[in-house]
Amino acid sequence: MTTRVSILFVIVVFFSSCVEKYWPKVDEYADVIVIDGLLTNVIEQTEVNLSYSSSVNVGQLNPLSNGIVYIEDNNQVKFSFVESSPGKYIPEDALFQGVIGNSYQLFVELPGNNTYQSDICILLEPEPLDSVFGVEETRVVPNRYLPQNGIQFYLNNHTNYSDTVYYLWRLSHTYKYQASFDIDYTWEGDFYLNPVPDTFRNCWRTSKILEIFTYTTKYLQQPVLNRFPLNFVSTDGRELTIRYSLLVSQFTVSKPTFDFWDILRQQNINLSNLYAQQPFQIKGNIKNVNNEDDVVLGYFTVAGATNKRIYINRPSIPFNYPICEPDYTSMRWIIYEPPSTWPIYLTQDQNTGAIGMGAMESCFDCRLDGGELTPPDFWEN
Amino acid sequence: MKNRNLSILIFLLLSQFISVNIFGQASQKFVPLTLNNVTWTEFKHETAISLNARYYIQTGTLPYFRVKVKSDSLTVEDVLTESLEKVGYKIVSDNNGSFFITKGISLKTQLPIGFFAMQTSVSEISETQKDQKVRDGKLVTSSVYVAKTIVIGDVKLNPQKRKCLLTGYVTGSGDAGPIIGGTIYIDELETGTATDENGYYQLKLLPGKYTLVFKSLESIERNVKINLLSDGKLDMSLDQNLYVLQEVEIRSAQEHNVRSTQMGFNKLSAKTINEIPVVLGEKDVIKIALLLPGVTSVGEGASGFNVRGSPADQNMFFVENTPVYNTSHLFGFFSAFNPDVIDNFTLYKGSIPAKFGGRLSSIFDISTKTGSMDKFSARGGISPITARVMAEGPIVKKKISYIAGIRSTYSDWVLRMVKDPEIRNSKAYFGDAVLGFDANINESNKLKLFGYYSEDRIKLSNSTSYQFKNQGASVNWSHGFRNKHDLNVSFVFSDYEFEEENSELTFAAYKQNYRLLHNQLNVDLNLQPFENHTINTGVSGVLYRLDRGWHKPLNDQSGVLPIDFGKEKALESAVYVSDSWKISPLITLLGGLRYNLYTYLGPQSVYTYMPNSPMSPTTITDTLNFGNNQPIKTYGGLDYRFSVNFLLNPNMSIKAAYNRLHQYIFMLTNTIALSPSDKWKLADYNIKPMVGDQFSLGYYLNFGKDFEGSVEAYYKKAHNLVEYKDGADLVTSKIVEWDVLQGDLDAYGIEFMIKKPFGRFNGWVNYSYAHSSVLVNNTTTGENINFGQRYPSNFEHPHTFNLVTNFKASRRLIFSGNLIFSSGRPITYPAAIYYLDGEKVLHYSKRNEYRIPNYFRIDLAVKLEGNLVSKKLAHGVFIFSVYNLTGRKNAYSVYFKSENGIVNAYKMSIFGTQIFSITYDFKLGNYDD
Repeated sequence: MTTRVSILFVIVVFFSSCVEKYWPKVDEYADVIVIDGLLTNVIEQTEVNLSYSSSVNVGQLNPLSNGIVYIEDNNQVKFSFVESSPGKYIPEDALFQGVIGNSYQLFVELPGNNTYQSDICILLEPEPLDSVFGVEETRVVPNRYLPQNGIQFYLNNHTNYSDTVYYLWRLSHTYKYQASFDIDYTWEGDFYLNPVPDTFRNCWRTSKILEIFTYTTKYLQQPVLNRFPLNFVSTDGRELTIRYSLLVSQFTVSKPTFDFWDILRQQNINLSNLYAQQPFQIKGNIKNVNNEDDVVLGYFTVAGATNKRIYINRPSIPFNYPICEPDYTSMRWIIYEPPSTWPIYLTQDQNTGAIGMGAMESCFDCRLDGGELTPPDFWEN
Repeated sequence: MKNRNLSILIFLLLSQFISVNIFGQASQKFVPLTLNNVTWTEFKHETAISLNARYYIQTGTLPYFRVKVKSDSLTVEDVLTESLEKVGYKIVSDNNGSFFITKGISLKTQLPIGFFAMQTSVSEISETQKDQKVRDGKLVTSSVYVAKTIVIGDVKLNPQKRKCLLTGYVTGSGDAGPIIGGTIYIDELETGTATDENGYYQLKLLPGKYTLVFKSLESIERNVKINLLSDGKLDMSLDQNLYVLQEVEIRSAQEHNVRSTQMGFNKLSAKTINEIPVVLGEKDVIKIALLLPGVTSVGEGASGFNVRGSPADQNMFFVENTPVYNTSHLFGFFSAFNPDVIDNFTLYKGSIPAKFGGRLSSIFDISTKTGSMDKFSARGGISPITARVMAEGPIVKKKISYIAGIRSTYSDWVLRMVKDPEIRNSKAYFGDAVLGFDANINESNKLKLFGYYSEDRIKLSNSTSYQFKNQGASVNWSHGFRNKHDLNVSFVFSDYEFEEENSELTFAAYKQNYRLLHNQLNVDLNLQPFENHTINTGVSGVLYRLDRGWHKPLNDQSGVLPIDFGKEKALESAVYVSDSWKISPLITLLGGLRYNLYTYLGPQSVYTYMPNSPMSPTTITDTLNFGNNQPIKTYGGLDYRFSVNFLLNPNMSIKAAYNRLHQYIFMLTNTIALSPSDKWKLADYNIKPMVGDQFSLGYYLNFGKDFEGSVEAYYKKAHNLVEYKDGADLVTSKIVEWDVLQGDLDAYGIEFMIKKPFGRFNGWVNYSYAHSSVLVNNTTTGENINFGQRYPSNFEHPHTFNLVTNFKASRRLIFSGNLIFSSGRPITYPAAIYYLDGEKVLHYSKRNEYRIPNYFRIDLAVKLEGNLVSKKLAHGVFIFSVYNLTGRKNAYSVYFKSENGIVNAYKMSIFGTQIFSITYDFKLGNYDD
């Protein structure tokens, strides 16, 4: 991948080429059913998402509700799913977990008498995940003079399995961050001292890392992965400012499942210079029983999973994330602010005692950047 | 033009002796005093009307002057002599009112020495010419000599019809001295003689009618018909050929347009190549080929090109018979041929001669210059990207010469100046060299040794590096016998290799290599047994040795599994014969057959598979082992060549052609354009060779003074085209048949071209309409690509328009420009977005269902020749060029990228702005030595 980017770089500089945003006219494809299923041996990891595809220019998620979703194992035991939020279906039994060595098949019944079923997939033995670690690195970003500082995460693993192992990794991170200021005072027609200035100061945010990671031991002499690169977290954001946690779910999957995700990965990062591979329609493992020609997107992924979570504290590397500056000069106009904007949060300089406003409310309230005020249950300080 | 005009004058003068004197007035009449002190232009105009005067001026223009008419009893000749004599002009008039103004030499009012001066005979002018004279009533200003028979001697002096002695002097026209070593060839007898150091020759011939061909290196050839009766003398003056050889060559191409049986044929000389503006001032034969009809590429900077809807691996490149497998530098941005060394190139895309085979679509044949046999010379140039130098000269005067050219980039320092560390740490080097020796062993034997080398070393940041190397050599011996037939024997060697190192993943850092060796022997014989037959026959054998290479760990930290892709060997031999038969003056027929015998050789182990099922690890039925050089599989294929030319009139013809060819080596690729690390693969036990058929029909017209027009339509089909299956694993795909499918390619199109090959204003314009599509649907095994539906080829551009112009403002100033339009290439776009695990993913359309935006570009160049001082050490040329004058951001590709969960679409342009460049070329000696 990087190779292709680099070729592009050389070309760009050599020939003063340019890249600009461009939306071609793509005729909208009919809404296609998307079935995205995951079943692992880990509790709470199994879920099925039903949706419709959308046109490229819109690109929104169109959840599909009121589907009947269940799975059947090789012993003909049926496990029903319930819709927990629009389009999201989870096992009725909250403690459901797949059994290693069992085979599973996904069934989805949708209004209009359409039944969809997946191929039968075996849940493979999970492989050990030896370590996940971060390394301070700088990297070059196109159209940016200064290189970016940050932490590149890697993993090491091995397997005792004698045949080729196909890996898939899904990442999610949680980080603690702070709003720029304490709320020392509020303005509601008058100044009020805030007794707990850091009420909205500290937040924890959890999100999926939207990147697909795949690899196979097929190309290796020894099935050992040493420093396999995962995500890179730059200091341009607030992720690394206080404490950061990365959860790596390592899935062991079958070859067809790997192929699906690996091609998807390649097509999603496809830079489409001329040495890129010709993209094509990827076929999943789910079909419409009533109409074999019907295109069904998505995949029923059955995987043996190993999870590993690591924590890192703020690294001693240069940070470059945006910080709010207190605005002292606008203070004189504060009395003209209409009551609809109240309460106005204010911060006080520790040294000078000067009171200032913030440019945005998120300078005071970290929740506005997507976090929650309480740490998740797993959080270790 | 000087001498051409002079010869016209001489010719005109001669004709005075026999023309009827009707219009003789101006010479005797006096010039009116009213014309005193007028300009020459006015004078010319006035006297043309009032005195019916005609002026023939040797140099075309006269210096500015005003006419002085000092009395009313002066003739035009008197007046002009008065004004022009002091500046070295001579004025001669005849009785027809024509005035001949010459500089330096005075025209004689009788037959000049060195023309048809015969001591004992008179000349006869053919009847047609006489008619023409009378009809026109004035001088015929044709530059073509009408054939006339010169009677030499007197039949009374030789009643026994014994052998007669014909002698004479051959001189250059004007003040040029005797022509030494000029030849006099008697067409009918196929013999001849040469002139001695005084320009003197003698011939002993039986009385009779002969056609004598006078020629020498520095002169224009002249044919003279004589009727020899007794001993006599014939002196001959030959016009000097001031023009460089290149223009003569273009003239020969002119005949091809209408008369030859060739279709889909383009030949361009070094001169043309040099005049067309190119990106960054880097002259490039391939970029110029892209301006010809039916030749396109996937995009700017894609390596290779596509001829009439065929993939790039269906083109063969030869430099002096040496095949070149990697034709480009820097991933396709520049072609790997030093422009200084190239003499001309020929592109066969329609009817491919029987002597060429092994590629379905086209043959790109580059001829290099022959080193000068007379004196040392050198040339070179500097462009923003490269520096190049070429030297040539004799080793043994008139016998053996050499030519050597080298070109190298200094682009590394450009990269180093960039602040961006990733680029600063990148390296891009390329270079190429050519070495040739020519030996004229004797009159009928020539030997040419040729060597070629090109190299690319590219390092991208610190993770990937490429090294490409192409070496080739050929030994060519040509033997002419009886001046009609010739035998050419060549032994050719070519070696293409590359190496790639990739350390993106430390634990999986790898290195892979590849090598292709090509050894070839050609024996080619051209025969002309009868006047109207030209037979070309020969044999050819190619031994291919491929090392598909290793994929192995780069260092100790790497745990990559070493894979040996193995070696391959095959012998492709062919025997061919073709005959061009001029059935009548109006119909020429060309028929050719070429039988190819391809043998895939051991050592090798091959799999056999269950019939009618996909070839995959699960359907293997047996493994066959073959020893060294043991034939594994033999494919025989008969190629056909057929073309016919109906000459409707001397300037108009209709041609039709049918070709069948076979191809046994192909490129394994599944990228949009050929990628730097794509590998060649031989047809083998399970992968069948490709077969291609092409029908073409054309209409050819020469019109106006210099225009050539043509319309060609074609339909072609290629079978067994090799395409990768969707999602094939390329890195470790050792058994190719598991990952490829074979399908059919269909292409058709029509090409319109108008060309003005010479003149002050020259160039061409063409438009092509073309389609090309691929179908991969194996109904027996149920395997297909794109759901078994036909899809457009990656390089299909339905409409292309190219305009190439050159304008010589003066001998020192040349303007040239290109205008290019083409439809955007097909592309597979994402048609929908859907979510998997929270991430947006793309659902692609059918293959190549959409197109990128159209392409449009204008280039301009100004060429400034150095001064024209006749004696100087070196001559320099500056070329200022601007590529993409309008700065249009032509799409190179349109791509979609998922960034932090958001899908963005981007259009990338390679040359998104005007690219200005200055190139300096120099050569030892003068302008066009």
